[in-house]
Amino acid sequence: MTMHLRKRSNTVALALLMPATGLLMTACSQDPQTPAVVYSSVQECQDKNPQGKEQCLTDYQQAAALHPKVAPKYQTVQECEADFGAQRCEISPERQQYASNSSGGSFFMPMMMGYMASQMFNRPQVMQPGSFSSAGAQPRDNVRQADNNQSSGSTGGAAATTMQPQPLYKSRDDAGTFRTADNSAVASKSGAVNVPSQALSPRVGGQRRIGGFGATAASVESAGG
Amino acid sequence: MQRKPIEQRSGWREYAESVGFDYHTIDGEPYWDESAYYQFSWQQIEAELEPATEELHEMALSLVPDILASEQLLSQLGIAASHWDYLAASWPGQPQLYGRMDLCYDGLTTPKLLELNYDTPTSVFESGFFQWIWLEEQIENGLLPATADQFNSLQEKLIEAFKALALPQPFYFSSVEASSEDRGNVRYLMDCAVQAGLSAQYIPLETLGQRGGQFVDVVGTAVNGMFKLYPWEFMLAEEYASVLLTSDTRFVEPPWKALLSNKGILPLLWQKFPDHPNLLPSFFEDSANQPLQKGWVRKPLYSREGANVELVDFNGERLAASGPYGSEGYIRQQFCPLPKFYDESRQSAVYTLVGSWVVGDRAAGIALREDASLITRNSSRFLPHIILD
Repeated sequence: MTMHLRKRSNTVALALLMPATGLLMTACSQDPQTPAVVYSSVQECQDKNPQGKEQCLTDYQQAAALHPKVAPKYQTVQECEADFGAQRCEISPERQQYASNSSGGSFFMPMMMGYMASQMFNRPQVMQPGSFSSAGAQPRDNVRQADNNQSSGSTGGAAATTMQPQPLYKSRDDAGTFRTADNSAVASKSGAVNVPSQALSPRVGGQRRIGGFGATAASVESAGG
Repeated sequence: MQRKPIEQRSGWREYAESVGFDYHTIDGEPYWDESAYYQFSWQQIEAELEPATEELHEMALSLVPDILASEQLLSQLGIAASHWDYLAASWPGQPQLYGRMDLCYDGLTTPKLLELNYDTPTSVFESGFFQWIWLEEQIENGLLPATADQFNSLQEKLIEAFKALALPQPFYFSSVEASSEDRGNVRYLMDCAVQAGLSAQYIPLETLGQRGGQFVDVVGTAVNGMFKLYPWEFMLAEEYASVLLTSDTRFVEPPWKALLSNKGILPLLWQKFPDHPNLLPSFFEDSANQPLQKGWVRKPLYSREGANVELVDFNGERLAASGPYGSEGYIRQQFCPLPKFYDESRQSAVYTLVGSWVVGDRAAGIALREDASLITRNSSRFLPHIILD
């Protein structure tokens, strides 16, 4: 009998068993990640960090001041709501600046749905390898646990990482996810997160138009073949 | 090449749905059909299908620089002059990810190229993943011998190809949102990309935006790289065609694939490689052409899933499929009857098409489609196959 080289894949596997819509998927990445914390409101921050109410307020105020500067701007409220959802847009206070180099009128931007700041409260917390070794625990849960436990007073020597507090937004089609002004998804809920380096510094979102592709598809069942 | 009935795996539908294969049944009719399988010999795979696939692939690619250098050919394929430079800039620096060619093959005579699906090939999940699992489980169930193999290295080669392409990240994957079949195909390719180490993000094609001539995603991040399960001929004709010229976006498949997704490639192949054993005589249709003669097939330059194909078999019997295509012109190709098998469970004849995958520049496996009609359609059933001597 002739020997043949195997003609099929040695293994096949699926890494992701999720619907594709609105999905952000990241492979095990070598990008440096910086710990940060996301809050939907200053109240939430203060509730979780009774010893740091002042810092919560300072962070929030800095993010709120940045909000009109970096939020993506739209010429019509309809365009803005198409991206961010009904009742989720407001008039930009910076209309004058924008209006001077266009046809004039108001500009619209999404409302700030939360903010991200450095993880000041658990800086002292040292994560020991294996200290959260229960099976199936996710890194994100571990970090949040550390955040919540800060009032127990444990201290350590981890170096502080500072970052500029920045506003966060939620898009209409993916309302669970906090995004920066330039649309980096940073968290699916409030609490501690690890943020890729490109999302650390606030960046300006912009005006855009959508829908220039896809029109011909209306006449065919599938665009594939 | 034989068609053999086999017991279906219990619970395969639930399993299919759990892995996102929710289009296994389309409009109440089976699409994935494991009531039977096709068996090929090693000789049929290694001496016929595999070398024919790689040779046809090489021949097709050899036409790309010929066409890009000829204004007459570019015009004949319906490419607007405003996009000639755009297509040319992607060749040969942006290699392909994948393609599928459809072959007329009966296991006895030389495989013949029916057409290339080199821009938006689908059925990649059921080919690369689902039929692989089927074989492993049927061997485990004792219904197939452990020596049975399958011509299917699709997933392995896709992962290798994603590693080799050096794509910008995050790399976006897009399809028309309304088609669950298209989404399923894109999701699988995205899965392979993630296994290759890429950061991947899905974007419904309709929500792609542009800002200052750069494609951006739903909240304005620049889209520097995107897989699109959407035909280049549509993209080159729609509102954003002009943005293609200014946006710094790497597309997969690359723009030069617009040339190979056009059925005009079939007469051009025949002109360059006349009487090649894997080609069927093919010609551009012009106003001087007579009504379709016995033994000829008429295909629109742009057509997918068998739409608008008309054929007259050797007995003069006419068969036509409806569809939205055809305004750009037609080609004519000599009729090659698909092999006919008997489906015992349905007590009817079926005609079978061999889809042959190419990933990078290598043959990567086959996908069998069968239909009661000689024209294979989107609804034609997908059956698994094995190799066994």
